[in-house]
Amino acid sequence: MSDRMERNLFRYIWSHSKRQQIWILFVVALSMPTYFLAFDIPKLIVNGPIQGKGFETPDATQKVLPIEIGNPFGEGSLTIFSGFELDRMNALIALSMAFLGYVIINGMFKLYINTYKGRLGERMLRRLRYQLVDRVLRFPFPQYRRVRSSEIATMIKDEVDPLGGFIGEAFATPAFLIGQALSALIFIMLQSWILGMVTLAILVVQTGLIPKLRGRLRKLALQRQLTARDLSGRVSEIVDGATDIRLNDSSNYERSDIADRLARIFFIRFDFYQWKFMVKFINNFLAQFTPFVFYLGGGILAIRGSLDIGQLVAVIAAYKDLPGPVKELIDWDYQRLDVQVKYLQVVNAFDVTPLTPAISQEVKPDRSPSLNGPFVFHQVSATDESGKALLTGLDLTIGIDERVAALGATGDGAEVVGDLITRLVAPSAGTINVGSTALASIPEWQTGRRIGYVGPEPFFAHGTARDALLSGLRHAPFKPAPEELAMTPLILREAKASGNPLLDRRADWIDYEAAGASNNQELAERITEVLGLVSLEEDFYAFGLRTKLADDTGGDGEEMFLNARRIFLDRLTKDDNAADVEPFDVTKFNSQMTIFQNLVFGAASSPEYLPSEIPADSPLWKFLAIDGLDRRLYELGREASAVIVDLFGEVSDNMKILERLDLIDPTKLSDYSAALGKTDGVDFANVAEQDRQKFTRVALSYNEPRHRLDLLTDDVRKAVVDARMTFRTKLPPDMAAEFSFHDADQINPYASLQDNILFGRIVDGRAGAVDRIGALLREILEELDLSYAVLERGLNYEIGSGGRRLSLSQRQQLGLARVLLRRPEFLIVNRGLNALDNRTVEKVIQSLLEVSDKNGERFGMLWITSQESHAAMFDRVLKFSRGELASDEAVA
Amino acid sequence: MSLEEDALLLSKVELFANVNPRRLKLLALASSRMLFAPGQDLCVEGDEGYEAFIVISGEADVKIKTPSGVATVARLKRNDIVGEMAILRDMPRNATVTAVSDVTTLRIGKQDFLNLMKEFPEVTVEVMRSLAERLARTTSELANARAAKA
Repeated sequence: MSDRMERNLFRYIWSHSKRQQIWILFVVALSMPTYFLAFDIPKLIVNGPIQGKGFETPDATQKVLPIEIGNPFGEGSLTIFSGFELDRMNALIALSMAFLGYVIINGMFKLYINTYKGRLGERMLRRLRYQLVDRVLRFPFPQYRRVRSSEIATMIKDEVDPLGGFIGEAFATPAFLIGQALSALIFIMLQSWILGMVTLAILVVQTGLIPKLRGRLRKLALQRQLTARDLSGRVSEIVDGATDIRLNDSSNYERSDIADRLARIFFIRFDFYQWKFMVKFINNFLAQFTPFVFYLGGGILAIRGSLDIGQLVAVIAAYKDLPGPVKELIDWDYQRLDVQVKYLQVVNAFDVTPLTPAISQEVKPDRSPSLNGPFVFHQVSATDESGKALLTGLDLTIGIDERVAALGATGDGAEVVGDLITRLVAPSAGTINVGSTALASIPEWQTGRRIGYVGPEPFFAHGTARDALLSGLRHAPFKPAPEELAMTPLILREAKASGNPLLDRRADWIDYEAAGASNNQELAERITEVLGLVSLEEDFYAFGLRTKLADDTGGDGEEMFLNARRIFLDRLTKDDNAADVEPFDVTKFNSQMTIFQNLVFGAASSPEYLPSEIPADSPLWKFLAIDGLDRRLYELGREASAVIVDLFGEVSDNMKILERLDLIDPTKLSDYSAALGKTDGVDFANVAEQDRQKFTRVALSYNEPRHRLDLLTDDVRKAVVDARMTFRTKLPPDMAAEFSFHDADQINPYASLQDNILFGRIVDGRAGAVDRIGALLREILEELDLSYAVLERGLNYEIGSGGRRLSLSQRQQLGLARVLLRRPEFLIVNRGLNALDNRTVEKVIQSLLEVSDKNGERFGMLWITSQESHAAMFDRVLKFSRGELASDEAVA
Repeated sequence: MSLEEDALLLSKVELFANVNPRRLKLLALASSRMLFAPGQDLCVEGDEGYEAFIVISGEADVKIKTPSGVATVARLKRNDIVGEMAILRDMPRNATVTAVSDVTTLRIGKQDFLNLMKEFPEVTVEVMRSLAERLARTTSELANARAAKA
């Protein structure tokens, strides 16, 4: 099968659906007789039984519903059945029943035809969409840098959409319409040769002129499509780059750019509408011009006596059936051109060469054979897309189990070696072999499992960290899906009918063998191991500790974690580290929390409830008024605001410091300044509710050890603790369900795991406290065999689109972990940890070198870096300079 | 332990002696207090540094690895600043600082420190002056040491 796409839409449709298209033509033809008969019956009913024509005497009878085959070109007809002999009433009933029968039959035909056409169109659309995505997956690598992802998405999603509707109509509709138009025209011809010729002439003008006029419409439609695609590309760029745009204050340039594009789109669209209605006008005019000729010309002929009036009336009657099909035919033709253009546009974007052959990405559920022999570069050169040399005349052999560092600054050529082995870059000259096989000929299903590659910006799809780790193992459906989830015969049949693959997404795609595990338990161990190798275990462990217990799917952990809390408290006092944690005590103010957190003394089911987000009409404000806490908080908040406004000024350049304080939103600083002026010297009782709330919100966010404004008096502390009880008891039921309060004997499902076990907060500002408590926690969880449970909760952390909820260094570590999990035979790390600090990188390299040397599992490595100290850790160092291998030394 | 107090402390540090008190208050606000128990390290030689500490109370020893073992080269007291070298440029800490008693410090984050210097050049001038003095002191100590050796 050729890898080029069919450029002619009709040929594409025909080649994939000829049998169905012929069948539908046949059914349409079959539906015609009843369709036309149904037109005739009302006339028969009105003229016959109702008006009484032919039933002049009470017992007169008539033959109704004869079956005759008429001869359109002459007199006489073949009578198959002469009809039922019925009186007036029975004739009415019989004819009406026949009418109803035709309506039902026509309706059924229509239903069948429409459903069939719809399904045909949807199948073709599915086939086309699938083919497009399949091609995207086989693009040559440099192509991905050239295209904008959102444009590809728009094409697959929106631009091919109208094709689905059209495909079902592609052959049947024009055939049907032409049939209708021709029969009307022939009828006119038979009545009057002259009027028939006039009609034909006008029809020729109409069918010739209108599509020409619409040519411009098509061009505009094309422009509309391209500009809209461009717009979607730009919008996605704005979303992706929003942070950079705003941090560089270039948002207004983006605004002007969007406005400019919208203007272009507006004018194209407006132009389009103008033309559209102009063409419509001309078309309508021509359609009505024919009757004008009939009335005037036909009338003159009739008055002069050269045309029979009966004939003229018949012609005019026949003509009313002509404009409809002709107009629809012209519309169909327009639609045809439109979808053909759209199709061609899409084909142009996807008809990229050379496409990776499908066989290279074959589904291979067995363990892929190992690469045979070393990577041998012979006189290899590579250039970038502009033709600039990246690497010249490289002669190099790297053993498959050798551990090599490639050292060089970015652009010196070191990274190109990695890109060449992974085939991200194709050599412009020279040959690369793996043993005696050409590298280029090795299929992707082998390289993609045997060679591991980590670049500086690994990509992760939206999902959990666990999904991200396992995404490197999804090579083939290894175990079929459980019966109840597997693809049903209907789904399989439809997949076949649309040329989609029969691969079951719900099957178990995880390559346990590649991961070195035989079951989930062992896989869990391997995951822990690789996370440890890349120094990421602690991070996910910490994520796990931050998750709420309520998020758990299992559920039986509560008692275990409560047990952990008891042991923790015990161990903490025994180790003399009690001062590291300030415990939750319902009778005491906890100075590690904000006033608001102290007031709530619990956790909310929603993500954290912030004082700045309390609605102005919340019942909370009323609780605060009890016992005069509101006045105290107002004064505290006002004082804090005064200091902040004084320090930062009305317009602050020190946004970052202010943002980190979490007291006042930097953008609202001037509001606070104004409120301070307005309330200066005003007694609390006379302060407007709005200003009260403003300052009270600041007070609620206040945390003495953090903000150190020396505002928290014992008096305020006591009042807040007293208000806790009010808060608990007076909360309206709908709000109460959102909160869960700390209780020494119970797990708080809305609080984090860490809060639950510590049942307190780590004291801020004690050096090493976080580490000490962390170690203690770990030790206890390890003893209780809860460690992996916590890590697993951490792995369920949603990493966001592209992993954006992780830091760059965490993404890099996760990227390396993902590759390590599938135990590659040869690992390439192309500046893949450059966002990490030196010590961590050294630690990771050290552990990788250790595992790579383990018996039986030895794997080779190519570590591309600019850091000499990192390179020196490897067995062999290749130094690159200006695109050439400058030195190649074994390290003693 | 209030902001006012911390700002006052900052003004007593040689490095910040001439800096506008309002700016010092800002720096104090961005900083935080950190307590060290005896024997705990404020920083470790060779580690990457992300913060400077100003000693508020207690004492700490500055130790350097030498070919003949670890040598204590200075003892830090109230108002002394430590770690500013590592946060001025990207290099590992050049000494280990260990608390000898309970030490209370004001911890200044690298980014806040750099921001302060960027926004208020007079702070930079003061830091430079302090560094120059230190250089002069080191140079004369070196000269003395050489003279003693000769």
